[in-house]
Amino acid sequence: MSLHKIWLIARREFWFNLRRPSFLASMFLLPILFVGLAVIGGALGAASAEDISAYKAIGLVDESGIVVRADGTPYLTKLAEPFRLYRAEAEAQRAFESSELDGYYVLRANFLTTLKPEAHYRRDKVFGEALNRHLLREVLKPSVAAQVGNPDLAARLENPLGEAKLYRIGNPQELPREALFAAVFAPILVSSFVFLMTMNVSQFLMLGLADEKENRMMELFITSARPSEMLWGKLIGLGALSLLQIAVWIAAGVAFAATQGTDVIGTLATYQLDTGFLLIVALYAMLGYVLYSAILAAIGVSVNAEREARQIASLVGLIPVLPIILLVSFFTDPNGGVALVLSLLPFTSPSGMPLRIAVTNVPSEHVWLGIGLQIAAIIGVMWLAAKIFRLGMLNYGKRLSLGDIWRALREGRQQIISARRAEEVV
Amino acid sequence: MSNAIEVQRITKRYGQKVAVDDISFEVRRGEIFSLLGPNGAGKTTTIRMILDIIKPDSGTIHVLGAPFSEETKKRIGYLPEERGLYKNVPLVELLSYIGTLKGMRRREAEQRAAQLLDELDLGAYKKGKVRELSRGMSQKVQFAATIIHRPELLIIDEPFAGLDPVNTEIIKNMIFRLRSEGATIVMSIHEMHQVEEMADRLLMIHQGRRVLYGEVDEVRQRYAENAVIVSGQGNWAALRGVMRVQPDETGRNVTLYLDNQTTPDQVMAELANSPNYSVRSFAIAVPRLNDIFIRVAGGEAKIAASVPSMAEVRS
Repeated sequence: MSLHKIWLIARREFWFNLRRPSFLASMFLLPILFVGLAVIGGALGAASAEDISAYKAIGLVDESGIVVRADGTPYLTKLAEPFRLYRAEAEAQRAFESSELDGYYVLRANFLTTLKPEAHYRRDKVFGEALNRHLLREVLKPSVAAQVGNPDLAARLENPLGEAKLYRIGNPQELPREALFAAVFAPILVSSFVFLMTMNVSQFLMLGLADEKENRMMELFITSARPSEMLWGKLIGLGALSLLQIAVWIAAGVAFAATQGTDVIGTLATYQLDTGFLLIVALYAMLGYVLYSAILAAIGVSVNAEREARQIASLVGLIPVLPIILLVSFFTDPNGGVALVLSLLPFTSPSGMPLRIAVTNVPSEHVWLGIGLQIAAIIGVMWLAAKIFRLGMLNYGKRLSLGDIWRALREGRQQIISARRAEEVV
Repeated sequence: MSNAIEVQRITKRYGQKVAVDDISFEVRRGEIFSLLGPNGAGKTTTIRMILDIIKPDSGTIHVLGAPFSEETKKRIGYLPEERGLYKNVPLVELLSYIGTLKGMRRREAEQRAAQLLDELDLGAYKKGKVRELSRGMSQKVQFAATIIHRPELLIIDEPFAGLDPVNTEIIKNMIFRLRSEGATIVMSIHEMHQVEEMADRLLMIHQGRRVLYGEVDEVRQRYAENAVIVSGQGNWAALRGVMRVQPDETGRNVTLYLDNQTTPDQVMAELANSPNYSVRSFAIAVPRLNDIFIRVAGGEAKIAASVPSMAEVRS
């Protein structure tokens, strides 16, 4: 293979597709759309989070003894609005049925164990987080503080593990609580993000090939470069485009967060994410890109028009997201058969292995076996794609059947044009 | 120096169908060689085997002195019959991309692309795109893409298909110029008058087999009947040795078919010496390639049988 030709083809694919309106739209408009939705969603969320004015009166029945003493008198001299105290649940129930109340809370006798108040409300006036928080801050905490005379102790009702500190073994720097969440979900997010991007860009590859076939350009190119050079060139050029897209999106995200006063890079640094692990995630994503690009390239030259290519690609696109669809299996039994197979099978491992690593300690031999299988699959699929490529480009105006492909694989260029097509082209 | 192309006894089958059946020929350096045949004769398959796009079942092919290799690709230009180009790329960018794939430097390819577009009367469209061009204009851009790297060997499949007379003339002149610069040209073509006008030698394939091969003039002579074409006045049928008189469509010329004992010289002498005839023109009748093509493609088995072998033609 000529590296120079691969470079020429890669450069051409990069610049040509970069100028496509559909690519520019996905690169710039989608982040703008996401930022817009985030801003609107945040504003709506902030507004609803604190708004409890819709509740006229809410009943409170205390069977746990946190709010009222054994003789029935409350610890607090004045109960915050909109709460009304009831001695028994039946009383609150009657008031609720006569529409005096929008609903009522019951603190059962075991409330200190469960820390969950029981809520009774109408379907059109659900008790939201804002009301729960209001009950906690304005009624429960002050009541506990009044009992023990220690507001700090009362604060632990809201955050029972508040004083526990998190450290990564071997690192004296304290971990923020969010790092626990990040350690599990960051790999999933990164792999999903990267993989969705690569699926998106590899569709450009497939559509480009379908376009070249539809416009009868293949024969001109095949007398200028090998099919494998064309495939690798396209794959590298579009891969670079994918990386550019990801970089633009990340930059846009970081810039937006900065305008909101969040230092994303500084915050991520405090999470102490395992870079080795993230590298493995990136490696799986990259190999997945090559694998699926080769598959979609083969589809691109097998079909007769772009529209057909899109239809088939949408079905192929379901395979890599299979681990996401079967997410529950990874959480409930990360070393079970389903998770094991999906994390090793080359067609699903780009998302399957990162998922599994996120939820359990995967033996390193599994990680390397997965990478080895991926590479073997890529070699096989690239070989197959180059064969189909050569077959497809000479069969203009025709969809290749599996029989055509099988004959081409068996007999090579001896039988590269299908017998049916031979009637037309000789 | 070796021939530009040497093909020895190639055969190609697609299932039960024999597309090319034991064909041999050579294309000499610096000539215009025409590949003829009715639809489905095996021309495109032969070209694809020469270009190593498909492999023959048997036989050998040498291109520019050696079996086809990646290096050969830089030295040939190929205009396929089923052709097209990127529709949304500026023409200079498009042509220079193809030029760089053929081994040119980018700057050199851009300059050559601009020059070719000027020569093809497309100078005003250098920044335009294929989708903005008419079909004929696109054809010229495709031709430019084929020759941008100054190939030693040019293989063109139906170069004049879809072109008007003006653009046909432009492409034809360019082909002649390439030949004068030393390029070898192989044309697969249907327009017989173009073959007569342009080609030095030809190969005609019919049902996968070689049925005509050699110098264009020599092939025409080979199929010439014992006849002369005259114009003038007189009782042509009364001439000695004339078996049949056939006026042409205009009525101005007549073809006189002679018996085996009479030569054109004898007829000319009798016409010159007889006061009963007034002759304006006299020529030996040579069949048009089109007539030979129709006769051969029409299934005259005796013609195929009478084709000389390669050794005969070479000698």
